[in-house]
Amino acid sequence: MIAFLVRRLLQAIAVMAVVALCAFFMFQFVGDPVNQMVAEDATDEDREYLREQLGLNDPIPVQFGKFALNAAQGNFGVSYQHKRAVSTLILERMPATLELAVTAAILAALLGVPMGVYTGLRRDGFASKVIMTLSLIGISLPTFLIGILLIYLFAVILGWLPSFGRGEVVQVGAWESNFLSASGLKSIILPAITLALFQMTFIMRLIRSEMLEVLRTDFIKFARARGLSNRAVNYGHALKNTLVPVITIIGLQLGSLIAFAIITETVFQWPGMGQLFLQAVQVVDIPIMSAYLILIAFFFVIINLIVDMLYYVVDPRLRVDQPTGGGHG
Amino acid sequence: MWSIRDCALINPLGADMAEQTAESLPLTESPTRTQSTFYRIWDSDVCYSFRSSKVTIVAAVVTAVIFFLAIFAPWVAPHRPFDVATIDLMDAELPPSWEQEGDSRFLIGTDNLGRDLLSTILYGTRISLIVGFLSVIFGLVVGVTLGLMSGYMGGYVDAFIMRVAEIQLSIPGILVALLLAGTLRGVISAEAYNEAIIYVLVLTIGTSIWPQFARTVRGSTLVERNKEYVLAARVIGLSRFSIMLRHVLPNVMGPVLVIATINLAIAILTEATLSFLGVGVPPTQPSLGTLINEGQNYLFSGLWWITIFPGAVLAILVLAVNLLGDWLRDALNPKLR
Amino acid sequence: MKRTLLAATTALAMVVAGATGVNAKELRWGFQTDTDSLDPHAHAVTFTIGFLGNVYEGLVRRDADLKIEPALAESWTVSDDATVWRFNLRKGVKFHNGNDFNADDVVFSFKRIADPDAQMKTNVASVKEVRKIDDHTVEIITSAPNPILTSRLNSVFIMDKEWSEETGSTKVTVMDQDKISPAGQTSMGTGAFVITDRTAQVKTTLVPNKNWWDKTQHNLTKVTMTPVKQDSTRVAALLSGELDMAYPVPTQDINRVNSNSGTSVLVGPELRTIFIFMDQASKNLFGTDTKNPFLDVRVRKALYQAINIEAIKKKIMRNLATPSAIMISPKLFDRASDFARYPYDPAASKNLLADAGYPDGLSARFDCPNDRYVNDEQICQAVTSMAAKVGIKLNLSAKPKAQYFKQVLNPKNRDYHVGLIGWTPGSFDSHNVVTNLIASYSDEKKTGRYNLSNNRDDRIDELNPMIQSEGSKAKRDAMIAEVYKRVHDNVYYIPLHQQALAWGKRDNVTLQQRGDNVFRFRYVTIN
Repeated sequence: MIAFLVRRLLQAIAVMAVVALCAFFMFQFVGDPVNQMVAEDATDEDREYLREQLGLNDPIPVQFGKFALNAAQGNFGVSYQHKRAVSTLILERMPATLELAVTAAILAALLGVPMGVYTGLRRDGFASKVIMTLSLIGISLPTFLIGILLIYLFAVILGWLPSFGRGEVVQVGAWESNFLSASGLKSIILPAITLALFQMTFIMRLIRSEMLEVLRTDFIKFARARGLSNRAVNYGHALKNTLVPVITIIGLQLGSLIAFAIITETVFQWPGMGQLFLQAVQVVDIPIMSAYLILIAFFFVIINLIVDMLYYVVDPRLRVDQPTGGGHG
Repeated sequence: MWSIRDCALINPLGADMAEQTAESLPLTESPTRTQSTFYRIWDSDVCYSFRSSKVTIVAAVVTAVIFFLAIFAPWVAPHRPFDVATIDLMDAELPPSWEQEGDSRFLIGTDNLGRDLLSTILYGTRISLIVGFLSVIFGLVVGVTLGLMSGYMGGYVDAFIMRVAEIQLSIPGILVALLLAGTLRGVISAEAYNEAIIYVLVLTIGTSIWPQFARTVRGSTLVERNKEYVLAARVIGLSRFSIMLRHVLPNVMGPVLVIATINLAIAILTEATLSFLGVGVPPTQPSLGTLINEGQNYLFSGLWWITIFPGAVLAILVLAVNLLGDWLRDALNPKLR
Repeated sequence: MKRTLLAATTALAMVVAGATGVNAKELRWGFQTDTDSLDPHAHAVTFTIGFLGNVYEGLVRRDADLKIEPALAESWTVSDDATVWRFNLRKGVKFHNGNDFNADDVVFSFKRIADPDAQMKTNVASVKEVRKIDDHTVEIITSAPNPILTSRLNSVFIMDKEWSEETGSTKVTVMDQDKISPAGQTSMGTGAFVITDRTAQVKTTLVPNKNWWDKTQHNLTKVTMTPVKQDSTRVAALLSGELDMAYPVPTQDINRVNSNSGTSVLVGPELRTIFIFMDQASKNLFGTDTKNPFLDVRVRKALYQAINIEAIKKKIMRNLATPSAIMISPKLFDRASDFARYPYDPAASKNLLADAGYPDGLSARFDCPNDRYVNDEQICQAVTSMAAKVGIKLNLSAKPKAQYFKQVLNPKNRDYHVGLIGWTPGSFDSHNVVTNLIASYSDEKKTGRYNLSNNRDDRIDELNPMIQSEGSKAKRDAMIAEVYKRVHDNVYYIPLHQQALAWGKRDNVTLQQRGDNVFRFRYVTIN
């Protein structure tokens, strides 16, 4: 187990290095940071000076080497646009994104799991079919349009909820939280719903199909044969057995929630990391772009690692790195 | 275990399952023409479940109609929105023809540049479908190949492929698309970029899909490869390649088809989302996503038709494809019958 | 971002007494972006400098009509050769922390802004030396005669020398995590407003400076600035009453904001001119073997006359544009009315093309930004369609500004055929337009950096330095008019229009809209 863990950690670092390297090559073509920074009447000399200062004249491998060396020490450099340490900027933004993503994930699970169980148990019921179809309508429009429609309805027409921002945030140590003020709580509703919609449908359908599978298995039939009540069978046995894959998937989805938050954050002016990144792309703020990508890669790698460990624990047959015995043809 | 062969619809690529079921519709009118084959299809479990689900039939019809209109857009559309010389700016923002200021030349109105909205939507659907299909086919071919290799060969090949899948998953698809599109803008000429953007989208969306295929196929392959028939095939001296291709592949096609159908819907939506982030097909040749993204700017101004119509077409298309995917998943899973 | 400005807390408590109460007049303002940081010298970004102008001041400032007026300098004199400027500084002015403003602060600030890492250094490019004469007198010596020096000094903000030394802000931030200037996060100016609280990209809070030297016109007790990037969200927040003031309002939403009860849009002309450039130096169209058709003035004129500027104004700009015949806003050039656009005439265009040897039309690439100017991409699409009707097939390539400017603003590799760009002269003067956009490109003479048409006109190159040093307005205007006439006759560029400003506000807010799109809180009253 420890050998497995160590090996996976080394792989994780390699994965992040590869991500960073790919990203770095791509940045060369995203645009020219210098033009975004200098005054319109800056001379060629001024531009050249800045280019030199930003280290853009070094060959890309050198630039990457410097970056990697610093990044390994937790120094992601200084944002071109904001003239502040990138690590500070990202840490400042992280609470907003994490709170949004976690709220969305919880919302999705709270609604998705019961609906999934219901539609799984009553596969052919009318209500199930309605839920199944309705759940698809929610994911048939692009997120940004749903967000804008929600703003229009709840902020402009009804005036119930704020259209942008986080509302009042309360500082808890270094963490700025939404959850401790009324306006903060009101503010998170629309963005969280927008972000959760897709995940909710996803979880619901996953639970449903897992339930359907499990209800067919012999051990459930056996449980019924033993005379256990429907309730005990459905929830005690069936649902419990669907949970491992479901938790796995929800975990994996947390990463994509953070990534998809880019769109939600833009629509709702939610001051999170995704918004920071998108803005960095527009002004070619390379230090922010690279730090963000590495961070996202880090999240994914960690989540994947946990999932793999879960698999390892649950089903030794699926040990990913073990070349299975019995030579191949 | 996946008794898809019952349906006689086996298609080694499988990606066109949705389309094929749609095409099988007219069969209801003349089931006698080539009786033996048709009856086999007609009587199969999959087709029975299709016939007995009204929602699925409606979804299939809707999908077929949209596909038909999109494919034949150049002949069906009343205007040629991609030919800029035919557009007149003075026609801009006309409401649908049934409204007071409407113009009978433009059935559902014009957009902000004076293009006939109906024609633009037809052409746009075509582009969305092209991007969707190519992405899924790309993801499917890559994913199934790598998944088979991974599952069947095991060992370092397996470890390597699964790590590559992980690297790919480490950067979410929309980020990959942002960077890749930015890069291509930098390295290739502007004319070529407009041509290439569709392939960029295909590449990025397809890339974000393939690990799903690979993981599923790998999982099924792990189970299949220790089955007796595979062992038997090996005993009689079939090569590893042909075993994978002929014996394992057909058996994992069921889940692959389901993933393909659902991902077609997701790919079409992803394309729309990317246009919001500024990585989309050029607005001179808009897709549904580009149209919606341009149109959302007009939501508050009362020019509702510019967003609502393309939005509705996209929603209906994605919904119909998803419903087909749903049906397929249940129908192809013998355990659920 | 620390939420309080520790260094200034005590002083603030003194300055900012009684900011709350029954008569609290809070202005909640939303703009597209946030200020890059609070450093007044580091960023050459219009919005950042415009915003910080509420907190910091220069020796001079611009009034609501953009005329230069005294600020931290009460008066000034200039030597006959326009190289030595003597400024008499205002007495009794205090920084927000209570420190006195004096000549040392001026000398210090001019030195800080001239730092090679400070992007605002171009404003003092002509300054050779700043000399302290006594505590309230400084002399500025320029390296060459510069009759319009003050037109740049309004952006040279004065910082407190003592405060900068105490906080370690004597230099702007360089690209090193350990050398970040605290002046980016806190501020210490003399201006009418004091920043009390700031979370970058989320919210910046300001209160009036009770000890401000000038007479207070506003009745505000608090201002909050929130960046709201997405157009539709910003409009929604204005409509729902979450913001008192928001801009820019997209042209298509103006009617919606006006018809909403309690909100309206204030429109006015902006100084930026939008125009089309055509490469007139390359023999072949870039990247092709096709002869460059734009070398022929008839082709350029054909494109000009193919453009229905009134349709663009009406349909795309919703009348929020002023078609222009020259490359500068008529507000900034008194003889602008001497010029008229070539009429829209597709038939004439076709004839011109036929005369030039292109009876069957021609094709070229058309590059365009899609996130820089008001409705930029739609304008380009409309031009593409209009040009196609006379036989000029433009292949439109629209892209985000970061990539667009990287591509077109490289004088050594002109990777474009035809393109669209906009320009606001930073000094509000025609010489800026002539030397940057119209004079031929010369790295050595520092001219024509933005001459994207890449035309070379010897007479204009001859006039350019003369315009710079000419003292007589009439003579100067005549020379400028001659340049514009040559541009018009030879169609070096196709000017389109000056775009308009659209500021959305609640009806109880009154304010002054400046043509440079800068918002000054000191003119705001709330009823």
